[in-house]
Amino acid sequence: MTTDAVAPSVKAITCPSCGGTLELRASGFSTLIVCLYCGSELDLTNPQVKLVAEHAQAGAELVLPIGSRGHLKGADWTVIGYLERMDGWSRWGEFLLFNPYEGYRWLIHQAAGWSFGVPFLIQPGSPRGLTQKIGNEHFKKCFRETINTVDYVLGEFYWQVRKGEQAEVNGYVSGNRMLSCEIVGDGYEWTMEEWVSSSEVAAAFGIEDTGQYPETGTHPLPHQPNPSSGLAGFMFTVGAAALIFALVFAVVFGSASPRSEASLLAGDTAQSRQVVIEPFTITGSSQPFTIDTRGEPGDNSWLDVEYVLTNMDTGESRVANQPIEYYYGRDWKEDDRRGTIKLSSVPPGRYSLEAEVVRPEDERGTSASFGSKAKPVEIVAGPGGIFWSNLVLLFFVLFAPAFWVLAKSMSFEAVRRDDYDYGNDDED
Amino acid sequence: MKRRLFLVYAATSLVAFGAAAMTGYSPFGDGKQERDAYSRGGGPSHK
Repeated sequence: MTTDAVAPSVKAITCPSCGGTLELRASGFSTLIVCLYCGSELDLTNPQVKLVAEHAQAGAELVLPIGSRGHLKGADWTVIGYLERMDGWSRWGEFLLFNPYEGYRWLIHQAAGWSFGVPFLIQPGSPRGLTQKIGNEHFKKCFRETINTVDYVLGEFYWQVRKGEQAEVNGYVSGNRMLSCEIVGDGYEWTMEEWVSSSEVAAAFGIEDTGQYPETGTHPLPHQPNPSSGLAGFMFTVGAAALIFALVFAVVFGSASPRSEASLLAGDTAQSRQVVIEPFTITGSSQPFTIDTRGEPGDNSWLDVEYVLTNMDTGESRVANQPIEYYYGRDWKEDDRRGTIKLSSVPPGRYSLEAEVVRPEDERGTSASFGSKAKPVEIVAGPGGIFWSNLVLLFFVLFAPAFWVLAKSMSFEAVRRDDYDYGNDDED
Repeated sequence: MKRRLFLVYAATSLVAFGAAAMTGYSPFGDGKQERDAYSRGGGPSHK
């Protein structure tokens, strides 16, 4: 075994096992390096770099190769170490980053995405508690304790990590931050993990985007931000503001012009059942035309008022009819003695409105109608009016996407919580 | 990006609504525009 310099100032060493040249990137800080070529563990605490364990493991093809440099979270980092851990359910990689001014950080790569871990020197609370509090931030336990095992090691580390090393891990989550605690013997190591997007990691280190949930995992990370929650709130806010604006707009533009009134007795003579109201003038753009009808059809009877709106200049006409009905029984009543018709987009011009009332007895024949009781009908008509259906349609147009995003957001949370075994309603 | 897209979508919907309100247009008509659209004396719906 040879060294180019005495630790801790050593910059490059030769692996005593395979002869490979290893570059020390955190010289003076690291206590262990695992050979990139043969996997042998070398102790750096001794001036004479010593072979700790000889392995013949092949160097992994890492997503972030040892020695990669990148700018992430406001600082430049060099990847100096990599280890893989596994528990009973999954396997993940942890990259040790180093900056001489900032110290060590972790970049944790799980199937569902990446986290940026900052070693937390203050012990927030009991390492096996159900919650942790840091300042005003409450962290809630989301997983039961798991035992994970180091299964692969490569590069430099600040402690004597060994393949097979086991730690008990507890995880606590608050928003997009996760506090994890590794317990080895009597020692605790707290790490504050912040979710970081795979694209951000890719951009920082110039690697290919490895993807994240939902592309790469079945569950999001406990601290992965819900991509839809903020968007849903924004959409509901914008939708509500737009709807209020539309309501005011509709009321202002839909306010009716002065309207004309007419009354009919609707008796036996044809004259008493017919009326022509004119003229109505529509200027500018097209407008709705509103006809309010109120009548007294009598008990358990009906009237039908038939309307013809005719353009007095062109002769074009629009027809409509309004049933007026009143039925009742011992314990029920159907009162439709009022009705409103709104004709849409009536072009500018002068109009006349003809109204004719049809009674049940009129349908049965002229002779049957003699002597029947008059059934008064009142008509109020004129240009203008509000189409509330447009407002309802606007509501659906604005809020349908918002509800869809909300559903996506809730689905994200449901899948996330499905992976929790603490704080989950389905917990057994 | 999605927020901006929704803002454009909402603005377009509002413009369409405003145009409909100013011209008195409704896709549903809100009225019974056909003669005999109702059968006269259809009777109560109460069973």
